[in-house]
Amino acid sequence: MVYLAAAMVFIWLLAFGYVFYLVQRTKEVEQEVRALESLVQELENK
Amino acid sequence: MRRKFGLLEGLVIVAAVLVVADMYMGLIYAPDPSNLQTEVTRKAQHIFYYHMGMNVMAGSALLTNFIASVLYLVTRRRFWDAVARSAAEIGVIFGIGVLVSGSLWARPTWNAWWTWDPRLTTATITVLLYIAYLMLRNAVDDPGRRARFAAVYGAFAFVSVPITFMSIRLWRTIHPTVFGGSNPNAQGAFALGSHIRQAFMFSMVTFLIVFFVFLLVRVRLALVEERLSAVRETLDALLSRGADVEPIGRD
Repeated sequence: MVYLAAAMVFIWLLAFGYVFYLVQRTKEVEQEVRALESLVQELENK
Repeated sequence: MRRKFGLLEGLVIVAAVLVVADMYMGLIYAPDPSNLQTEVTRKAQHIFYYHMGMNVMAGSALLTNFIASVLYLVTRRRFWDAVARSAAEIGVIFGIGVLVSGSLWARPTWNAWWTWDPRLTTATITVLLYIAYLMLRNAVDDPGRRARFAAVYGAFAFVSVPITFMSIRLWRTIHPTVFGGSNPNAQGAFALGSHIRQAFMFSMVTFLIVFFVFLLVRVRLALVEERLSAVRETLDALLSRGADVEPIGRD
């Protein structure tokens, strides 16, 4: 039972670690999109 | 700078709390089934809550992949392609989880890590089909062609899911049929008492919520990445027209 609990904790830590990585990655990409969009805007206004 | 705490992180935390509660329900709240012969098989039965949960999660993901694939073929909206891709990834991860947890249960119950039983075989084929789906996606460069091929493949690959579900009802197998039928050849079948039923229902709801949260997170990233490629294409077009800016680095 202890092994089963340990295995479940390990699996869920991996799964949620990956999901939090995805959330962080989304934020980084969103920031990059905003920066590039403002650059595009600037170029189009030239 | 104050860090913004988004709705998505909130949902992930809610899902994590539900998972902790689900572990309590499956490991502590649910009693050992009384009809199983040995101590080790009674303890191993607690895997059932997670095995079935992952099964429902993988099944929901592959059903979502099927629906999104069909919707992409009908509407040609890239949103559905992003949903199909995200759902297939979740389906493969939790499909592997189903096979591993089933194997852990089989060792004490059937005295074997693996046997080529119809249910185990069809489930393995399903997981392999969706690994191939993800490989196919990576093999095609053109986004339009990739989405079209993947949608056609996804629509056909789904046939394996109902076959896997029905395998324990159609063929002679040692896999227990817990719901909707009895199997005289089953080894390790058990009765659903009220506490076991409550823990099981809680587990199903938890895994479904976790699936929707994971899908939401993955789809959002896929959509943001698509927006990034579109902005980069626009920028490349502007730069090739000779705009006076420094080149932009790519990661």
